Amino acid sequence: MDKNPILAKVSRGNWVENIYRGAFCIIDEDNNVIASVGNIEKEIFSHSAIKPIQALSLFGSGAVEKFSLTDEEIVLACSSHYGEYYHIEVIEEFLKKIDCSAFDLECGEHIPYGKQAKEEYFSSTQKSKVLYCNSSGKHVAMLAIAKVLGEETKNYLKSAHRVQKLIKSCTEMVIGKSLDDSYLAIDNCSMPTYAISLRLHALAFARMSSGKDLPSNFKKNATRIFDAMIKYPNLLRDDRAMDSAIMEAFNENLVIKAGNSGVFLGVLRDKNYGIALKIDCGNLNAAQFIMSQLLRRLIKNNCEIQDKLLVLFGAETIINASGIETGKYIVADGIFDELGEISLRY
Amino acid sequence: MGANPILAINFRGRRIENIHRGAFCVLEGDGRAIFSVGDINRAVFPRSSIKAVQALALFKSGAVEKFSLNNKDIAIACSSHDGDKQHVEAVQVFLDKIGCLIDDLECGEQVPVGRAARNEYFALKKPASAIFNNCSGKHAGMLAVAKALGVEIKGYSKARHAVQKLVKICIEEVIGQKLSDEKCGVDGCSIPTYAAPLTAFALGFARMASGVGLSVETQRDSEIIFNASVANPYLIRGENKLDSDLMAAFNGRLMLKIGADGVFCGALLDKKLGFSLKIDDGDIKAAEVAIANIILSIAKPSEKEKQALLRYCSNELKNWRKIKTGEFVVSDELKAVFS
Repeated sequence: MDKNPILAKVSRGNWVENIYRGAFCIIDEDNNVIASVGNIEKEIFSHSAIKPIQALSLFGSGAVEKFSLTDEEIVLACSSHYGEYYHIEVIEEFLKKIDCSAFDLECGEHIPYGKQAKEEYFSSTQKSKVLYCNSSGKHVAMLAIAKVLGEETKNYLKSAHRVQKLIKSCTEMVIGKSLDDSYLAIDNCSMPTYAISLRLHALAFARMSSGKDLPSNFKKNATRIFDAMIKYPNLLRDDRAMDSAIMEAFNENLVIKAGNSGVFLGVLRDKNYGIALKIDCGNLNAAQFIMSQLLRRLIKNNCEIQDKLLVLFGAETIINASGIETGKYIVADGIFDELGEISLRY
Repeated sequence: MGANPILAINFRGRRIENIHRGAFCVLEGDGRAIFSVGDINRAVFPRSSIKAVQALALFKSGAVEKFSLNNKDIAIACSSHDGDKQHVEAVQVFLDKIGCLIDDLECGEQVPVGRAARNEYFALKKPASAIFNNCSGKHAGMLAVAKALGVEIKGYSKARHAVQKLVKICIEEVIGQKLSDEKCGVDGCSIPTYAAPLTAFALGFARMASGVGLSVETQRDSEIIFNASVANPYLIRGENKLDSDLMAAFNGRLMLKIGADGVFCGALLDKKLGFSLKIDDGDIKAAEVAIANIILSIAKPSEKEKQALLRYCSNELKNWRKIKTGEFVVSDELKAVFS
């Protein structure tokens, strides 16, 4: 098997402790490779990073129009939220609007990421625990689609259900490839997920940004999704999360979304450059480090606040339970060499 | 740098989601390699996997004698515990014995690692405490060493403190080589940790199991430490944890200890073999499936032992609704080593 290069290392004291291999690419709207490292043709599961693509089906089904969905609700459909009260509020309102309840959600439950949310999750007996699931917003959106299609909401996660067929066809449209069952697996929130190459993931985001080779309404809908994500970064995840914080600082030019198992997808909107990253072993911290470092090099003349954030989330220092610095993340030599020329265009 | 082979694979459906590379070796007490894969000469940080080696300082300092430490005390000093009731109690008993307080521990505050203890921690809104730190037992041990040496206990976690100097000497004797300040870091619990070749740690465990190359005292102390550990497998880590479950099932013939960032060290006490494993990317689950398969292949397990091992040899991956999404398995490269 061909192997991806080392992207990041972690040192402890003066010796390297862990290494992280992976691949990333920057692809334009015409599927040209602007920069790439590692095998970008290998299929990966992108988990939550693909939610903005899946959200296109909210428009395709007519749910946005029928339920007069707000930008906040559209963001929750794309979110991997922390389960804090401001997330839960929007989700409960959204559920009410479509005449569904938490009992209809089939995403399952897990301990939420938010600090306050965690305490509520363990102590509150009033709220259904499924609401705290980081994907609950996307699942409400899928219920909305089922409703507008006039389908049973039950079993909306089965790959044969019309909701999933619609999401699949929206995905196929933006990646420009059909997906058969050989790519199919089940995601952590129980919905069908398809293995797609890193390159096509990046292409999809580039095309959603530019509208190239897509039906005209796709660009309009994608623009609303991207704008909403940028407008409400705190609803998308939380202000402590890298993707939320960094988007906020990039003046509507950057969309970025993390996915489980070491994935990031995004787009630089002014250039329509789609970006995709996967760490081979699935390590999320390494993915966040590399994505922050990549963006920092890509956008050279960034303003102070952007740089500050990228330095913060691309933090090299690792500290232990007593607050002592034990080591740091290191970018592997040469992996960003190709970015020099691109960054000049900024 | 040449890449280590893939040892573990995480499948989602029928497709590969994540891969984990690494190296391992199985050695005899005289250093002869029985099995090995990957770059076993590369220096790795053993982290918590060598607590049983570090515990030798309890004997060398005279702390075992001075405080009449029993097997439970020694086991908790070798533990990376879950912070469950039995662990917190054992650490408290140890601290009381040596006249120290939780505040003397320099391991840092932590939320309990174990699921039950953690849920209780959040539900009861307990304050964070150093006693919940998974290394608190080892740190109680180090306080005991300081007291027995008659030195100031404060600062015992620093590399220049007499306690850490003694711990370093103990490790060096067992692995048969000097530890270098050029491959030194601070561990999660703030004590110094030294990287050494993966082979050195397998050799250390083989020597502690066989006595080969060790002084008579170290042979005796090693035997006591291993016996205390295998006799108290659930003090060493916790319920439903691989090293605890396997040590319990092997009923005294397996010493096994996890270390942070994808490390395992251990010994087959009856066969007097030592082994060590490091996953390059530090993934714990990958380390678990790999070590279970390695032990399955080298231990000639009984039916009971085999059943315990099989629980960890592959891992069904389930999602939030407990639906099977994939599987964590070892690679064909790993299996081929034993065929």
